[in-house]
Amino acid sequence: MLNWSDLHPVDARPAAAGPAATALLTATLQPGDSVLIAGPHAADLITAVADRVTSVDLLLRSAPDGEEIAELLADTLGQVFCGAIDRFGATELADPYDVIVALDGLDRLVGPDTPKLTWSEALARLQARLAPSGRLLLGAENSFGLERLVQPAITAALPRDQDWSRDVADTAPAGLKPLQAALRDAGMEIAHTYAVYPSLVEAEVALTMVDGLAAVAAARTVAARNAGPVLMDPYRLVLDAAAADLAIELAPAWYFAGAARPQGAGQPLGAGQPLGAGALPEGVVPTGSGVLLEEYLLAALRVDDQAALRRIIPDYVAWLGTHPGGSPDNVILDGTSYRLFGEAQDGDVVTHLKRFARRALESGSRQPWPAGGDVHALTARLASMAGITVPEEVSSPAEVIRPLGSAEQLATVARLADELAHASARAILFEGTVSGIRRSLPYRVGHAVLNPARVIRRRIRRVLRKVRR
Amino acid sequence: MHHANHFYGHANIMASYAGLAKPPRIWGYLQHGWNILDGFAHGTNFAPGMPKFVWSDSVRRRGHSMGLRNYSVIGSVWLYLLKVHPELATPAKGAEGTIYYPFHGWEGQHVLGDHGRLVASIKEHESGPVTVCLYWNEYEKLPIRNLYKDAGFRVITHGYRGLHWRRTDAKFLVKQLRELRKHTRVTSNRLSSAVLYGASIGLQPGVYGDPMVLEHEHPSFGGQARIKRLWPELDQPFVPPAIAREFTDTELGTEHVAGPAEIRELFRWNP
Repeated sequence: MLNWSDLHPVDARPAAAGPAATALLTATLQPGDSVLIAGPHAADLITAVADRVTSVDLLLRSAPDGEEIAELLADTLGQVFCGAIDRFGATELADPYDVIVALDGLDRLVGPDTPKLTWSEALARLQARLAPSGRLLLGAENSFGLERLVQPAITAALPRDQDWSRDVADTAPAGLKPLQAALRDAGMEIAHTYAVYPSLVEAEVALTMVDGLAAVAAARTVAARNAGPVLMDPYRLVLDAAAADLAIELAPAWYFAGAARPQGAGQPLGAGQPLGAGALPEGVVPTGSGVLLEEYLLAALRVDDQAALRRIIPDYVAWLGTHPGGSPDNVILDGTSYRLFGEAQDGDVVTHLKRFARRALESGSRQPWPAGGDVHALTARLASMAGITVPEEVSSPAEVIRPLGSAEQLATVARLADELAHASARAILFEGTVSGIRRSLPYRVGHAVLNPARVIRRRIRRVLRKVRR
Repeated sequence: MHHANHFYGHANIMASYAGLAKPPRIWGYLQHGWNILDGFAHGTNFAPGMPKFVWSDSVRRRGHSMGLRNYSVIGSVWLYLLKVHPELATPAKGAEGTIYYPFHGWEGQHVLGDHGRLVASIKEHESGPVTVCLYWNEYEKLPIRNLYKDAGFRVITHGYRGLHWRRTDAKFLVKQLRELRKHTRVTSNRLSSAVLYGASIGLQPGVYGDPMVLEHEHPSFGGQARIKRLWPELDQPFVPPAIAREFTDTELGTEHVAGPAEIRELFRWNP
């Protein structure tokens, strides 16, 4: 494609990139490997590969990208092929590759000159380029991932330049199980399936298991990518999906790492095979057991278990007293011990509890009390459990909760409407009580007696004051 | 707030616990007795959205199912009393015998039953000295009081629980604690607050004798039959201590007790 760039797109998504992709390549590639990178990959990914192996070839559909990368790899052994994979003939290269890297998937291996190329055909063409013991690192987007629930899929109705499409029968398998089945049908032996968060073009984390703290790492990336208005809270959605063991199937994308052909039962994949199950890049998920403190507290709020809050909050506050600060969304609770998830955060106890209160309210979480209606009241309630009295805010107006998700906004409206209805009904009831008292005989008698008495007392005082002068 | 908050001097005890000399108005409704439904007397007219402070999680769950909201389970006032009076943490010297609480009504609901048959039951089950504690309105009725006296029992009352903020005996509950500490067994013809209180501090509980009938008892509570269905193991003259302890911990809400700062916050007692 002469007038097209996947590295510097105009109306298309950028090339595959991200620390998880780099980590996967670093973990997988061996110095002696001959590697083909097929499809658009970010320049730093390509250089990471080039730094690690002796020979790397590239297959790119964009001519400007090809020139840019060729310049970048001037000192590296290998070639940059520019064109579509369906025209990537046998003449271009004699020796098969040890590893083919296609972390962008199979869709962008051709340009609009290609009338039809099914996903299976594209895969077969790559496999044909691999040595018998060769390995394939393949990316795939999830057409029904979590993002679908978080953001309206506008481009489905309003296609971008990249969505020129081809044939009615020319679509990739949708969903994890169909994809895995298609790969197996093609003879590939999948060693590991990684759930990629938050997307192929900014792969922050890749996880073979998305549960517990790994789910939190994944949720954070999705929340950071969707920091504006959304349909529903992405952070909550990822964690809830993970709790239902759906966070791999609903991941935004996947990496499949494995042998291009069956290696025989019980036979290892050989040197340089992808590392074992885990999380990429290394260290992105804290090791050891435990749950995020915030999740524990939210679960207690959700089921109205105030005893659990009363047990945990004083412990947490005591821990804060001797450790660098961490808000509940940054602290791991492991039985009765606590540790940080990531960097310490500034602030005192009340600041940390306030951050939790705000996040709890913004997530539309159930609150056991109407006190949960505003951040300050909820903070005061939680702090009181640890024996801390937060003074009333006199001057500043109550902080308004602004959930970014439409679903959480609706939940907030419903909760506030309910509280308002109760407050109004209470005002009416109290007003009735007061007027009842006013109409009562004791009140009227008292009033009738005390009023003249008050007038008399005032007059006597006035007279006395004059006399004293 | 609600006058029932002051029954038995509950509000005063909570104020002492929270570090206040006198109880300010409690912003909400405080459970005043063991309850097998929503924590409150039938027909309590709740102001919408007001907090409800209850003893145990079971009443919160039932109340929620009946449309009530904004519960805070804080445990019974009895547990706070125990904290306010550490000097009464152990049995009195020479503690012995049984304290028996005939099921009591109140000003609005009287108890119908045969006290004579109750006396016979007590004599049948108790071997040591017996103290019978009558509620104020029965204590005032000489024939009833004398019936127990003539049987050789010591007859006492803990006082008047108060009504509409008036004549509340603020020492009611501490008197009860002091009296319980003088005994080793607590019994009644119905599983009731007094039995729970006694069992919670280690007295051996028992339930026997004609349970009597409470005038106009509301059917939604399920009456005595429901209590027996829910806790059959407690319907016996000598309840094993371990069973009693588990029951009182749950029903008095031992694990729900809040600290003084939280009580001030919940009750809106902060200046």
